[in-house]
Amino acid sequence: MKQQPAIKRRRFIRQVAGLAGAALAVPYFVPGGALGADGRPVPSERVTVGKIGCGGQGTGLGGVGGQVVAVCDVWKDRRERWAKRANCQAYADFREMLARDDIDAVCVASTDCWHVHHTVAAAKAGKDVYCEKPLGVCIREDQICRDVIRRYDRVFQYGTQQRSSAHFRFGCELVRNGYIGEVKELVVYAPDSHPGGSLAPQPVPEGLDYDMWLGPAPWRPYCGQAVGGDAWWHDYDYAIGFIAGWGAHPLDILVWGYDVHKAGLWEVEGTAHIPTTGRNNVVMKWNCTLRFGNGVKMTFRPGGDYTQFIGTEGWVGLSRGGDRIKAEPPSLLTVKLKDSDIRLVESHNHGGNFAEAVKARRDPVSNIDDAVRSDIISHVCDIAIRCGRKVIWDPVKEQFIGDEQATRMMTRAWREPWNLLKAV
Amino acid sequence: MLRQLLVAVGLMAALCGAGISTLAADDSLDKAFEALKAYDWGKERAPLRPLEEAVAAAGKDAALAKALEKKLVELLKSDVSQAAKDQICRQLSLVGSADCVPAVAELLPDEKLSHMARYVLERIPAPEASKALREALGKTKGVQKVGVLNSLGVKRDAESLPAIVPLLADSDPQIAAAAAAALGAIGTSEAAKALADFQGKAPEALKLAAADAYLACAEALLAAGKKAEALAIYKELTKSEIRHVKLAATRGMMSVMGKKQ
Repeated sequence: MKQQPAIKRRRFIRQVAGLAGAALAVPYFVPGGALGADGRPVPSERVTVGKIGCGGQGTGLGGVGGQVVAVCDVWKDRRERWAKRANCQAYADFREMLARDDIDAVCVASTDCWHVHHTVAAAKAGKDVYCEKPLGVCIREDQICRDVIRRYDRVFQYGTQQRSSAHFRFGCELVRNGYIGEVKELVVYAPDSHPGGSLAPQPVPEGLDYDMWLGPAPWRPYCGQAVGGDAWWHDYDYAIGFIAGWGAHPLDILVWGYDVHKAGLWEVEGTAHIPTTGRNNVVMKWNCTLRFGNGVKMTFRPGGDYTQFIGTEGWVGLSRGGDRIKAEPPSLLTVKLKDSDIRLVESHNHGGNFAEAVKARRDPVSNIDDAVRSDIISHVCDIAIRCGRKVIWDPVKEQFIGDEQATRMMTRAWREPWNLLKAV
Repeated sequence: MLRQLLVAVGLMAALCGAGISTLAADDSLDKAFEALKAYDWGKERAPLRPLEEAVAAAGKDAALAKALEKKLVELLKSDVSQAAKDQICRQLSLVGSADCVPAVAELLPDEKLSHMARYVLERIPAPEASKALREALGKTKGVQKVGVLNSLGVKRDAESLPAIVPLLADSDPQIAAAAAAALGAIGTSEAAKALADFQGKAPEALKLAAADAYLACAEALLAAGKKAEALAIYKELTKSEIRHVKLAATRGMMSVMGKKQ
């Protein structure tokens, strides 16, 4: 019944290198000189976007449906390249960019440990936010992010672009409407993290503001960690690895199709390998089991990008590649949803959906509440692994029960002066 | 003593089943402490792993936690490198108690170690940790003082109010803004009074920080059931000249109206 789709190495590397796969449909930016010709929005109807992070992910995301009017990066060459490309001003300090009142929205594609800081600063400056996944490097950051987005009623789109693919939506609608019967089991796979990296100190490259790159993360000598995503995605000071960094995608589909936060208390246990040599030190080969209070069991392991819902009358498996949607019985794939069935938000372009939501002042397809829910699954699994024991999580109160050490891991102190409690 | 610790760790592992990996059954914990003494930037972390595993196991073994904490504090007070102290603080953040607070608090004014000291103190729920942070307000300056204020805000330490309120008038805008944010997070009626006063006095560059802290304070008051006080803040902020603050205040008023007593 359960299936673990193989992920082809080349495809995997392509996805890691660009992740632009699904984002390619997103318009990079509307040229500043366009006057509404060729079906383009006229300037007054465009969403103006400031970009924070102009590396691989930031480049793939482009203007997230709007017109890039400012760019910011701690790497001089990256921000200047993008400024030339978008014919706009480049900033080394995001706070200066956020002070501009002609920016509607911000696209956050910075280092993971900065995601929530940039998002919160933007929201407090009155901007809407498209934030690359994952969310925070600890659960408390996720919660603060949600509080601030809701405080200022900002539009927040999480960069889980799988929601803008029709087959993911259809699969989740089958589950939501009971076509597989009562959900009994959930199976999630995400690509594994990598070992590697060097801890040997080396000179800070010219053109990099290393202190700003580190931001809220603990200081240590520069050792090559800032050169690209793959250099820091698997370093626990800046991220928690692909258990969240890629897990965000299949877990996002999981929470789209099933309300894990309404499933009762979670009993979570897991094992993993944590590399002991090199710079990378996040969990690898994780094997997590979550038993929800309502009897539903979930497993989460490395593999392809895959989410499977198993019910009493069948199952649906969803992936971004290969057999994108599979079901048993196969007749589920030809189901015509009834008018009375629950329908999920329809989006065919993640950036475009964000820009439309900004203009309409409504939640886009990947809203902040679901972003927090899926990211919390990653964190709770990571914490259970690091504690080396079963932990109990209350998804309503969002706290661990009877485990003070696990509770401590919900927070990380931010290096001064950075602070999520404060406005920019 | 470490061998006794090891027995406890091994027993714990046997009782609990799978951990991150099988806990050491030899002298690797002794060796881990030796490696920690000599640890510096650039060195591999593998020799420290038995210590990390013992710290994780100590989450459910108070005696083991105490023994580890004692040994870590001894090392913290010794002449080890910044990198070693960084590693010690990471472990103390998970097993530290009131007992380690004096040694950790010594690091708060240290520009190289202040952050890691807060990494420990923010996570320790004992009141001694908050007290140490409170007292550090008089011993720190610049960004270290900002950091201490941030930690007091994170811990929502209401007892620090008398020490924080005067900092709203600090000539360093970073300190004044951090003081406002801490008060907003603390979110008591007294904090609200100080922030109400600050709204009119805050320099132009801090208007947004002042309003944001006031909004956070309203949320905390509302969560504590102090509906009328929260409503008063929201009403006041609907007069803000900052458009999105005005919007947030209006939204806040609506949420108060919809919230049952």
